Amino acid sequence: MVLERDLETTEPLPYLGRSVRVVGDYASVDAAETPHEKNKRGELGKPLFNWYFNRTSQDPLGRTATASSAVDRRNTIEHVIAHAPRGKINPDRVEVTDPAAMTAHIKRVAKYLGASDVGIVRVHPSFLYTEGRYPEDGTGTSGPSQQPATAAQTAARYPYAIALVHAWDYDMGRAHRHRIGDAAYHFGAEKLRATYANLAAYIRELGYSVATRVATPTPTALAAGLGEMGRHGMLITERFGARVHLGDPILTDMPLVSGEPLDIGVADFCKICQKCANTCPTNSITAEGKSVVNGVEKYKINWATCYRLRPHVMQYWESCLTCVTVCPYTKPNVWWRAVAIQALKRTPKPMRGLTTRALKWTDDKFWGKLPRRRVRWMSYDSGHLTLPDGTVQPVDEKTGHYYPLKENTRRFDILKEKLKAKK
Amino acid sequence: MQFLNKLLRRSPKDPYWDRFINGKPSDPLNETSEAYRTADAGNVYPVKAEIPGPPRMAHDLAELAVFMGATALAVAPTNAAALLAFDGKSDGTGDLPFTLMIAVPAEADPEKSPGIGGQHARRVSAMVNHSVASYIRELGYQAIVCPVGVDPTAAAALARPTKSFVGDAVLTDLPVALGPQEV
Repeated sequence: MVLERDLETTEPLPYLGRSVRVVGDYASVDAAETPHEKNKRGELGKPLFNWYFNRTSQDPLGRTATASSAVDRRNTIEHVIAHAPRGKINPDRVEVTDPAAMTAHIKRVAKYLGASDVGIVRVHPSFLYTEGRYPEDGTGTSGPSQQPATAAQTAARYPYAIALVHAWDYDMGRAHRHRIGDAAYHFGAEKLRATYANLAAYIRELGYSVATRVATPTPTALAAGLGEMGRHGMLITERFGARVHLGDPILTDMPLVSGEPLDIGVADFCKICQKCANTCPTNSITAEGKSVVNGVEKYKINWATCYRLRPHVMQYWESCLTCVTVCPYTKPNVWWRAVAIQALKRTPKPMRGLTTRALKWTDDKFWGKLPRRRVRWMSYDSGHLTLPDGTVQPVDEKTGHYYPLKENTRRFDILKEKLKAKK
Repeated sequence: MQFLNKLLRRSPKDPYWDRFINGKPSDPLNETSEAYRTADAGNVYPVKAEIPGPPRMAHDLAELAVFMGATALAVAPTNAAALLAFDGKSDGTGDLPFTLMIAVPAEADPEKSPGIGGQHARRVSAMVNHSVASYIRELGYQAIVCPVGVDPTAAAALARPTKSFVGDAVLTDLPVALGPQEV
């Protein structure tokens, strides 16, 4: 196991499960170098800069669902939560004599407050942003005022991280690349934000401190055993697949018990499936093997091409989510899904290829290679699309809720390349 | 034991649970329902959207409310006396003739349980009301969240089938059909 050079710690990097592997020197992520922050500084070009700061949704629900698309931010839940005053830490601390009981309690509380699943893990400095705290002043820069401590100091002060996920509605999510899918996605994020805020308030009420905007969500969630990382770079959870929001983990000094990474067969399944890579409209997901990025072996996503799509589609819909929707793990949380996951989990690792092929075949047969679903919700209909000029697109295989993008035609080239390679 | 608890659908022993539900917060700001309830209302969108007929519109609002976490929604005429007592304006009901009452699930009764867990239904209610009112404003119509508009009889009927809680009312001039809405 490799030690990170700049983390001022001797703790080895933790095991993150089978879907990613630490193989070299790893440097913590600089929050100021993440896509949104780069965009805030204008480094991704004018169209994306304007998309970030100057967009308003043409859809009334879109203007309510997320502050970034609002005309008046006060009409969003995000604004309400962000402006709610924070309470103080209770000086009369509840002593934790049994960390296991408190861990079970915190998990139960989080679910009661709205989380779909909860993971707790001991914090390693590598989970934290290098510049201390995720910048929140809108400038995309971090500096000394936003750097209360080094990652190692923060990890020592707040030894446990609590990561929550919120699963968005399965049926509405199937109308992705449409206002219905946008609503499922954005309102889901707002609900998770509220859950995090209320859980943090409860921890303060128990007499313990919390820190937010300091931990990178994905490694924290992987180490906490919330799921595994898929080919599409998203967390895949056992009960909900990839249709989850991860949010910003809470760090706390409350004594808790750390979870462990889980194995639901994602590492084996993604090797064979490649459904997300073949359907991604921007070809941002690799159809090839894993590569080493920042000392971590994983599937490398081309985030820039994924990100650049947004200004081109914002008049029609906001969130693509194709990779999440087509992922065979993303299914309703029902008994036959649980059976499939259990079958995969219980298959010995060398035999998992066979199980994966059988499950993939079933998925293609019953759900389609490119799943499409017409969804009606409120007065929205994903089979019809109102264009900015007011005309309505009829139901059509070639348009429908996939308008204005053409389908990913390169996926056939990818398949041909794969066939050639096999020969 | 864990399996047995799951099988019998009973909660495991949790020494902290009662405090979560019933313990009054040491700092009232740690319980955010009041902040959510009294959050500023945004502006009304300057262009009125094309909207469906009143029955369909009421159904749309009910679908939105249920998606946000409600169990039921009913529309009643605005109670003139209550609104007058609240805002002191004599022409209040003429501006906002419809009152939306929204029930949310409540495992613990917020009236009796002052803990952060006990007040959860009140927070959810505030969130749902805020979202519904905001959506109406973005459609180009007036909507306010008002703590006194709920008709107690109608609210009791709305909350009866399950353990639920009816918080504040949403008053609006958006044309919606009166009565309970099926989703």
